[in-house]
Amino acid sequence: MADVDITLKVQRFDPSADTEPYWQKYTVKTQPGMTVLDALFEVLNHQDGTLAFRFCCRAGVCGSCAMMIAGKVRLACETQVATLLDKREIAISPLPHQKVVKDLAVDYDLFFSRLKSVKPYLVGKEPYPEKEYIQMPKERVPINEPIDCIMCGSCTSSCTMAWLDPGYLGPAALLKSYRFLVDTRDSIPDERLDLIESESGVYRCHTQFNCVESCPKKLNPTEAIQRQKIKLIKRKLFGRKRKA
Amino acid sequence: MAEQRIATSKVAGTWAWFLQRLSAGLLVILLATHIFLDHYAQVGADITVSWVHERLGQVLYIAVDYSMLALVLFHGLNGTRTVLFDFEMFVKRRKAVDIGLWILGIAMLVWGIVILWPFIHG
Amino acid sequence: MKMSSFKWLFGRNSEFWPTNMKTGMWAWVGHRLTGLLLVVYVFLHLSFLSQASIGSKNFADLMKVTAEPAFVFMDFLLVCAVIYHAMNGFRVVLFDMGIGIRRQKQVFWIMMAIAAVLVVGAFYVLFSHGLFDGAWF
Repeated sequence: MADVDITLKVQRFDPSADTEPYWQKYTVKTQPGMTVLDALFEVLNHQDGTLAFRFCCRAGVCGSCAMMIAGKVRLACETQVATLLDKREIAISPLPHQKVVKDLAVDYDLFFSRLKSVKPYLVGKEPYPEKEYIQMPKERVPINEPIDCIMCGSCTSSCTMAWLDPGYLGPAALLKSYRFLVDTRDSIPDERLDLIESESGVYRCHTQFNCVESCPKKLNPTEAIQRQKIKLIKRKLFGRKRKA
Repeated sequence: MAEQRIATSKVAGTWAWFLQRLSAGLLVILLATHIFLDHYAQVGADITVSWVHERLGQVLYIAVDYSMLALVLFHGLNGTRTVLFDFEMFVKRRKAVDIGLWILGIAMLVWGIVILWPFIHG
Repeated sequence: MKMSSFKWLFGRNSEFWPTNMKTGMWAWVGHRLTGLLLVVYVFLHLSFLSQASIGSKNFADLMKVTAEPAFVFMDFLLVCAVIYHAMNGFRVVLFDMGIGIRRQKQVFWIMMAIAAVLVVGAFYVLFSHGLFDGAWF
């Protein structure tokens, strides 16, 4: 695949200068193992220094480079250009329905304020241990998966319900809530359930599975949301559990 | 961007969600009964006012018809409420939506009861 | 970003409809459309019956209308909508009980297979019992 030229069709938008986004084309010479992020760097370094995009680790861990590539929400650093060679040109645009800061970089303020509203941190049990909380391997199993979330925003920006209402928590925040809810070290499950028990919380999820389809880490936020619904209805029907 | 207020609706939708599922299950059972009693078992019948009157003299038919009407209205309008609440502007006017749908539902229920009344009383 | 332009919404490679949307999304779209249709149907049904409860001559005329092939065909469409809504609703309830969430696509197609059998059955009943000879209520 060496020496093949590909065309990148990048959506450009500078809110301070443009009224509407427009597409700009760049031709990039491919190299073996080239990712879309590498191609964007090629453009940035050699062709157009004004192109803006977000990146950090280049290894699919930081969750900075989620964008729409060839019509699909995915990570630029984990998408090989070789898999897209059948396309005439590779369309690259920012995450759908997000406020654009510039070009491919979107505003994550809403995403993170959604995340913050579910208390995305561990509230330990008192008395606090001297060193660390002891957790058996079996107790760790439920959080093995949701702990892998890199908070790239792919799920929340492909969820139609999160598009329609900024008040909806969105799959990422609800997955995070689930991650702490099922953590055996956490001490405030009731409070967490209160936070998400709302028409703008879990009940806005209509199991469209868009979040599952778009997650670059192959996580399942829908399942997390459904499990929380089950916990909520159990609490409603059989009463709150007494604190031990 | 200024700090957004997240989770605009603080209403717990647990009952609405649960009753939607419950009414769905009941509706499937009632619908099967309704289709069997009123359609499948009656194929070829000559439907006249007196025939309908005779059938509606039985408690079973009245019970199936009215309970289905009530359940369908609940399930349908509760579903409509869910649809409306997917939009930010309706979430903000939650009370108005709730009251409006309750009035609509009760009005349609009364309408449905009134419709069958002449048949029941001849 | 807010953009009102139609081209941006529905154009090719539009940023608004990522192709990540698969079975689950379209199952939901169908569920919602049939749901709204059925709410409208309940209203139409009540208004039709309220005409029927006025007088007996009127009643006989209306029964003739219900026996028309076009009307029966609409009945068939109604049955299809109900079956889809019920079967997909059953799938959603399964997910609510925590069953089959990881296999949502297979669950959807299994449900649709059952729905297809029911639709064929409904069509057979309608057809063999007077889709065209007018004995069907």
